[in-house]
Amino acid sequence: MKEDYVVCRCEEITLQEIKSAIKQGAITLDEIKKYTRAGMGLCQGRICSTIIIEILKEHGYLPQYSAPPHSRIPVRPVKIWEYIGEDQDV
Amino acid sequence: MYKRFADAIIIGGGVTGTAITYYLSKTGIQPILIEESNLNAGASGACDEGIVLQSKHTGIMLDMVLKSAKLYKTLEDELNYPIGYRNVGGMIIINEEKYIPVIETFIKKQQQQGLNIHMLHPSDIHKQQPGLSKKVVASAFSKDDCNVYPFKLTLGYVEAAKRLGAKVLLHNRVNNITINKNTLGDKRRELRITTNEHEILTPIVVDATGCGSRQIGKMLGLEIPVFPSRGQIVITEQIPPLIKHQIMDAKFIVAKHKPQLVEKNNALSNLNVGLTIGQAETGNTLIGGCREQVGYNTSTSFSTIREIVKNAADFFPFMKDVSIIRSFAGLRPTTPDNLPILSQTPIPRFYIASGLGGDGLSLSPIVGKIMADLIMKGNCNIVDISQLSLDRFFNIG
Ligand SMILES: Cc1cc2nc3c(=O)[nH]c(=O)nc-3n(C[C@H](O)[C@H](O)[C@H](O)COP(=O)(O)OP(=O)(O)OC[C@H]3O[C@@H](n4cnc5c(N)ncnc54)[C@H](O)[C@@H]3O)c2cc1C
Repeated sequence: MKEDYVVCRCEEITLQEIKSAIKQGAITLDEIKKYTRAGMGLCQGRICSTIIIEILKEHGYLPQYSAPPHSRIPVRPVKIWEYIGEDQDV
Repeated sequence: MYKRFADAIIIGGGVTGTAITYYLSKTGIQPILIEESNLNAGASGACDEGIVLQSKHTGIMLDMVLKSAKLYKTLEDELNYPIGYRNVGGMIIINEEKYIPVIETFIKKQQQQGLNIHMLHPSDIHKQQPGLSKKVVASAFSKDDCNVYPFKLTLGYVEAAKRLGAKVLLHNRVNNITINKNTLGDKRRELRITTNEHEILTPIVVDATGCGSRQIGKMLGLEIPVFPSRGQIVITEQIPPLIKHQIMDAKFIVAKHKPQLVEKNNALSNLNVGLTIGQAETGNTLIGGCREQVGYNTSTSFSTIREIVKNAADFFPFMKDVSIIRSFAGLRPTTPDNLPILSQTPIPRFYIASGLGGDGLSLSPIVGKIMADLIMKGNCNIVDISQLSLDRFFNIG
């Protein structure tokens, strides 16, 4: 992988940015996300998570450090009107 | 176990601890910052982006935030780091006629203390913030409210402090603090910090652990009354720049001053939900907010998230067609009187900077400066911090 390879396409975060976050001390998926925004975009890390875990492993961090970030509401992007239901008086 | 010395130790890698590390480093000493997980693991990684002046009560809180706002103006240059500081201006929006006099009185006092704030003319409200529902009948506006990106702010403080000689120990939990009895007169060895990896002797320790403070206090036999107050935030997809300002529902302020005016018998107020909304530089909007007393639980709940987005659609009808992509919850480190603790303690050279509640981001540079003064000079001339001392909770009468 080249340094300018885009690891997270939603937020446009490159391999180089991931590596520099690891250098600054980020060693889990959640920490990489906070340092770089990788995984914060529309797909919520569905695509880039596995790549980032591989990069972490290459840097010597054990898979148990790579617990996935909390899965939280919503599971997929949802329009607010769908979420609150059409019966609601808004 | 590595044994070492440090000029000072700061515990907690949130906005408070990193700011203190930076301002202490500037005085010429070389502190070590210790964080059990990573930067922004606590409230500072689960908050909005607001440097909000107009929500502060007159007196010491407004005094501190005014001084903080001034420091923020030059902070990005000073740290030489892109912290995402933006002067967006802020609105406190009112959707109930009966709230108007409360807010008018509130801002009159703020103006007297020097805050740049005014009520918008009703015909200007929707020009100032297009897209706002016609239900909004009045609004205060302060052009001095700002945004800053907390993840970059802490990194900015840390990188600048490191250049001055500070060190950072991540993934180190402070498990114990003890007082060294037999130091042979060597002040450098007075306090002993034990983490999962290190043992460090130091003359100065600062607790900046937010909701971890009670735990830290127990290690030294101190009662530090800081309790969690949960907030939940919903993030939307990136949209064009439509939310121009940092916006807050007047209900939050009215609930404090005239609680009897705020309806208690509907779902929204039971959850203590009042809209906060802002749009990040990326285009994502951040919608909050609520205050829930649920202990140390940081999960999000379907019912609260639903109330929050319903509220957003109510105030901004166009938001109905915007998608939400994520939610999270954070714990505000809150004290019984809602004022922070910036204080010395009965233990010489053990200090506390905690209990910043919902204001820690707004106050971070001034808190860093106050603590650096308190630690290095023994007192602080910036504001009268006697009101923020730990012993205020125990000196009754
Ligand atoms: C939903 C929400 C929205 C908010 N919005 C705003 C806003 O718009 N503007 C604003 O000004 N404020 C806001 N706040 C408040 C703000 O987030 C907090 O006041 C601030 O982040 C507190 O920072 P802190 O550094 O004091 O504590 P924290 O950020 O909680 O940091 C404490 C750190 O200490 C570490 N720690 C704890 N125990 C130990 C130990 N034993 N050893 C080592 N490390 C330890 C933790 O891991 C943590 O990283 C909001 C808060 C919430 C929850």
